[in-house]
Amino acid sequence: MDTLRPPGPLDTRPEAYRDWLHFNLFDPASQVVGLVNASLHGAPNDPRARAIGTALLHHPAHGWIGNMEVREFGFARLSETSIGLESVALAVDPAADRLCVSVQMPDERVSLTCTALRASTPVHIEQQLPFGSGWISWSLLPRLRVEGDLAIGERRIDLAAATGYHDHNWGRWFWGDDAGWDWGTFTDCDEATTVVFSRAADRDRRHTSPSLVTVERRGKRRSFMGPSVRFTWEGAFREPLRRLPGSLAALHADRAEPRLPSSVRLEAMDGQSNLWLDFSVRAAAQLIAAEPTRPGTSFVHELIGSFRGEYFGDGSTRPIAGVGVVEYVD
Amino acid sequence: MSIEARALPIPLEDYVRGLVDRLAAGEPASYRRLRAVVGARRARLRLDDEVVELCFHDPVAGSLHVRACSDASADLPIGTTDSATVVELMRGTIELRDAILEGLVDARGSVDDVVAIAIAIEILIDAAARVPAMLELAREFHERHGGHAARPRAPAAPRTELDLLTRLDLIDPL
Repeated sequence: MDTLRPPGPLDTRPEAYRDWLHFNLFDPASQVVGLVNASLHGAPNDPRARAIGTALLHHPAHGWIGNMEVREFGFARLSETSIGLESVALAVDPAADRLCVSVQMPDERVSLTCTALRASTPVHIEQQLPFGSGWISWSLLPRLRVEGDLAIGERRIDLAAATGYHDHNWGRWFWGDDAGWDWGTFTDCDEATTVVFSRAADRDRRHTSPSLVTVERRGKRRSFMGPSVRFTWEGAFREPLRRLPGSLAALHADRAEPRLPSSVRLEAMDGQSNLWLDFSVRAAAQLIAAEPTRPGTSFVHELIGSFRGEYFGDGSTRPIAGVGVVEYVD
Repeated sequence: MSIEARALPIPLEDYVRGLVDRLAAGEPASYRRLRAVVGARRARLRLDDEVVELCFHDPVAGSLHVRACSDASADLPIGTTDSATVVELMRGTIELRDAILEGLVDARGSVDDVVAIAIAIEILIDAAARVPAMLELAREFHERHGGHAARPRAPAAPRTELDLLTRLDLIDPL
């Protein structure tokens, strides 16, 4: 059972503790793409440690909706598999193979209550992958079936056709380390195909870890690693970003217009299967992660948009198209 | 929560003193930097209809002195904004650059004084990420003033630094 991984009594670096539950929502009917994240930063008994809840959804007509809640660590309601704050809560129910998500932000005029049911097999990467001054591990559920409701202002959106993505990340590092990552998930609702890409890197991308791509289609999974994957950023995205939290956005005005791509090209091939997709960025947000125990800051860029491509597997080539999100962290 | 049901706003004098006291307790090194940057300066701060005057009696060892004033007419450096803008900055719905260009945030004084005001604010915001008590005070401010977040803002025409300088009569119109 995948659980939160708080530091034990023999942990030599509890102050570097990071742990979060993450959920992405993709609703093809309304074109809403969203992220909900509940995270823990720092040693649990350190008064500087933080619990942060983030909910950001993008609707074509409303733009970005949502915000970030930053609290002391002790404010969060925790269990082995859940993190709950005042406005954001995520809970994994391993017995029922489901994820429960709640967002209640009346000031932002958004509320989300949904249950995401497992529609793929999980991936566990338990080894401690080198990351910054420490390490990172993660597990993911590439595809979930969503039930629930989303309200944006007076608009009610039924999520019956929506899909979701979930991952759990944990490890030991400090925000501001020379570390980052590129990650993306792309969901084709018609073909039941989900693609996940990831690689760790330093902030300047002079060095990157081997890339990992998983393609899950109708219950079958194919993975591509290292040289069989090519991931390239293209173009320049020039629209204004939504930046959170606002106070750190004001402090880092120099990062208000980062260099972000307008498109991404992903290719993967291993002689038996191959994949290509082109992702076009529709909107971008910047989540600013300030280290609570010492000076240091990292910037998590969420780029949402649509993709099209092709996947050859099991002897046939299928076009794929849908919505997705790419993360660029430096 | 309706505006009427929210708690009364914190007096500006108490808010500023509270922020600096919590900085001193939570991150003494940053507090010393703040004192060094402010030095012997006196300045005023206006938020909505409230004005306070602040200074360090002793820039090396003294604490911050804050007192409410009746007006801002004294010839002192002054920073001016309103609580609605502060809430929008906290919510991330307006960039600081845009708030300055639209005249929602204003700082006046000599170049050195304006730079010192900006650095002092940076020190406070930076430390708040690591001092829970400062974060709590900021949250309290947001909860008490958050009703202003409902203020409808007409989309502003894109402004540039040249627009600002022209509006301030510092350069001739192009």
